Amino acid sequence: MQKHNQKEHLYKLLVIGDLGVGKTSIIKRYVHQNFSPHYRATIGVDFALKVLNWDAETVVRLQLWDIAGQERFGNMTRVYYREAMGAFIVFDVTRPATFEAVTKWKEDLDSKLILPNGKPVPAVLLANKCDQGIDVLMNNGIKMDQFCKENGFVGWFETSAKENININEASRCLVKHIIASESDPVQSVEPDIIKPHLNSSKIVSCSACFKS
Amino acid sequence: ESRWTLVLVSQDGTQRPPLHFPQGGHLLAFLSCLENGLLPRGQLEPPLWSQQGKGKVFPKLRKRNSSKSVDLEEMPAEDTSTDYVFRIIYPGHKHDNTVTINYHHLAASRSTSVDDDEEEEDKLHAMLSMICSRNLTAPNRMKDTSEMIEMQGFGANLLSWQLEHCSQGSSCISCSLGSSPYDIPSCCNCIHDRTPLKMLCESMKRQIISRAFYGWLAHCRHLSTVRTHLSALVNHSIVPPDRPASAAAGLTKEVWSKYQKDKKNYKELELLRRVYYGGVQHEIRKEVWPFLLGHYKFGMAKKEMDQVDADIALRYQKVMAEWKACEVIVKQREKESHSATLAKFSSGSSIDSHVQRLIHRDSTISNDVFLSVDEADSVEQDPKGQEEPALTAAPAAVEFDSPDSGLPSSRNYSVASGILSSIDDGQSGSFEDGAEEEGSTEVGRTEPGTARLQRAKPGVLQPQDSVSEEQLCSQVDYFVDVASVCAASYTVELLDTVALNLHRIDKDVQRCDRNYWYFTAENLEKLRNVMCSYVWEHLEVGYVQGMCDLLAPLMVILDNDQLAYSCFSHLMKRMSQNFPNGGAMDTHFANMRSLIQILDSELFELMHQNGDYTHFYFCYRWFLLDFKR
Repeated sequence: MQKHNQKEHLYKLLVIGDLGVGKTSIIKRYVHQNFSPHYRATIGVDFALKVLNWDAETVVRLQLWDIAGQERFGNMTRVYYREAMGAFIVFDVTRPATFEAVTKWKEDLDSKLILPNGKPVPAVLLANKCDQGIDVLMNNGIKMDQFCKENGFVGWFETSAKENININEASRCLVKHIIASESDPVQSVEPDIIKPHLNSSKIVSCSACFKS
Repeated sequence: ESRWTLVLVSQDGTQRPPLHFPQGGHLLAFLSCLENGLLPRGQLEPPLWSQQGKGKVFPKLRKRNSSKSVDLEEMPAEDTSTDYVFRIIYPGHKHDNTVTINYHHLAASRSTSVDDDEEEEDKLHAMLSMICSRNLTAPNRMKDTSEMIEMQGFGANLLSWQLEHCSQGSSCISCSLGSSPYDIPSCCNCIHDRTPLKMLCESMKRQIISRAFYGWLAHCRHLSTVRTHLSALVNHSIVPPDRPASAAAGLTKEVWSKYQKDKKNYKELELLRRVYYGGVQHEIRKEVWPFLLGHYKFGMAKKEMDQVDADIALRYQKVMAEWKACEVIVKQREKESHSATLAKFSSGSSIDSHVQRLIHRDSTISNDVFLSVDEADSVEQDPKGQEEPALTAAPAAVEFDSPDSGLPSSRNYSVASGILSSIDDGQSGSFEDGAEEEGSTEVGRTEPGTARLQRAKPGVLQPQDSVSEEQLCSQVDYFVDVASVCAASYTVELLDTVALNLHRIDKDVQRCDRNYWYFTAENLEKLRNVMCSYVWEHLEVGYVQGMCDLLAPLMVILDNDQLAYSCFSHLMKRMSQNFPNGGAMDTHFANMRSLIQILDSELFELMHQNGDYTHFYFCYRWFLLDFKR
């Protein structure tokens, strides 16, 4: 790669998941580096833009679409999903029902959106509010890895918008997969991928980039 | 029908009277004659085919892939095998300057950028052919002809050709250009060889003007369709802002007190006019809003208003009692499933046995005090739950009636109406009322709310007597286990629905306008109660995000949960259509689209070009929340 030839990417990313799981908080934390307990319910969709200096040659602009958790209006999500390059699906570790909804969101996403190369969009699963209380589901890292594999997530992270845990890492993981799938649509294998460890600590880095 | 018919259509869309040909090659002869006559400059498109031994035949090709965008539109009869559309084209005169310029000059009234001649021309042609196809399909007499041929001269090409041919004095030019229908027979007989140049110039002028006119007409027709659509939405009786007096000041305290002194001679429209043009003065909003929203009606006497308040208070209490009772069960169920999950993870014991333990504990609790046995004759079917046979056993001996009661998923939950009576008792001191009935051994399976309604007497529940939360909670905690035993039953589906809705409401209530000073914990609780009450009465729609936003201003202004409940119910009669189960949102989008198309067509075009955002989904929040945020 030549240094003088700086590349710029613009990616539309979706942030979806049940209502109240912290989608807006994650985005505000990621984009504005702060947390407030005062966000209101999102109606319809909100937007945010994040600029990443990916490496010396690449600038990545992320257009984050914060989609209301209870978006039930007809064709609207289909339109919102259009031309997205990746997605975060968020659930709340303190509420198992939001985890059960994850598969529904994933199915909805995959049924309405397919990449130009015919593959589903890369999606990262975010187990948000990991700073709060015990989480029955999270005690078993291997199980989550398996869940991701079965449901086609490229990875999963325990995040906390409040404590700023793992949000940047999750984003980097997703962007990495987007770039990989863009530059090499046929072969989606990445050699430098971080493998999950069975004895995964509470805060893992890209724990589920298991594709190798 | 054995006759063949030829219909000539001039390029301005005017359709000529049909020419009828007898069977047997006459039409073909006519066409081949025409084709020959047009040579060398003009030709028929598609050309006639030559076939050995037969001479000219009709072309077999059906699909014409001309570069002109008009083709699809002008081929309404393409599917039927006997209809042909021919055009007269002049390949050598694609860009005749004089004529094209004239044309653009006229068309420039619509579009200022005419730098791309081709494109502009195509646009106009598309418009013209739209008119053509309309004209062609309209008359019924066209339908039964076995053969229909349309001759269309095209645009500038024909005109330039016409010009040249006229000077040469050898053509059949007016076939498609005659200004009156009577020109056609003469033209087709080709007896006008030496048409004076002046006449042709006149004709050309007319054509240019008519084309520009038709293009403009098409545009206007489209806009008028949109305008008609929009005007249907507008109230045409215009209320003036300045008569009888200027309404700019809105509904002020003075005007309002004047109304209150003289309700008999009130003028509702005048009040509404003031509100419409100037709003309501803040101090009197609390009084005025219930009128505007339909809680009170204008002209009501004080007594009537009191009656309305009393009725609402009663209803609010009833609804509150209903869903609070259900909430108890939902909470209990959640606790069970949570502990079951925990148990499963910690000790590996099955959910079933765990839950069963809980249940067996339930039945051992003495509940004879709190089991208010409602009127024996009020045994009713639970409209929400599934019907179950009435229990005839004494309350203390009640057992779980479902054989598989150990499974949370298949169990029907029950609630004691005793909870309700005790809630009530705490408030009104009507404990005796229930106590008298406790001796009865019959357990009526009654929906708690229905029972409440029957038992509640006006005056027992004062509007200001809202149920004390702490009291309720403490009682509720105590009766949790009792609750599962008797009185009303809820289906699992209902409980699931309620649990889901309660959860959504809790999520949204907590974060509803929480930066606003009014929403303290106490007032948020009120907000929640009103919202839950409304949703309980509309479980088929359920809670949808945005409802809290609509309720919040009512709470702030009215500062009374019963009044807010009533006003919100009235407001939602209108607004609920915007929520996913109603159909109004699509209408809003369509209206917005029309509006922008008319008011700012440039913006509309821009939106259309940049990925087509003319679905106007970005207006969703505005419409849903009535422009609150």
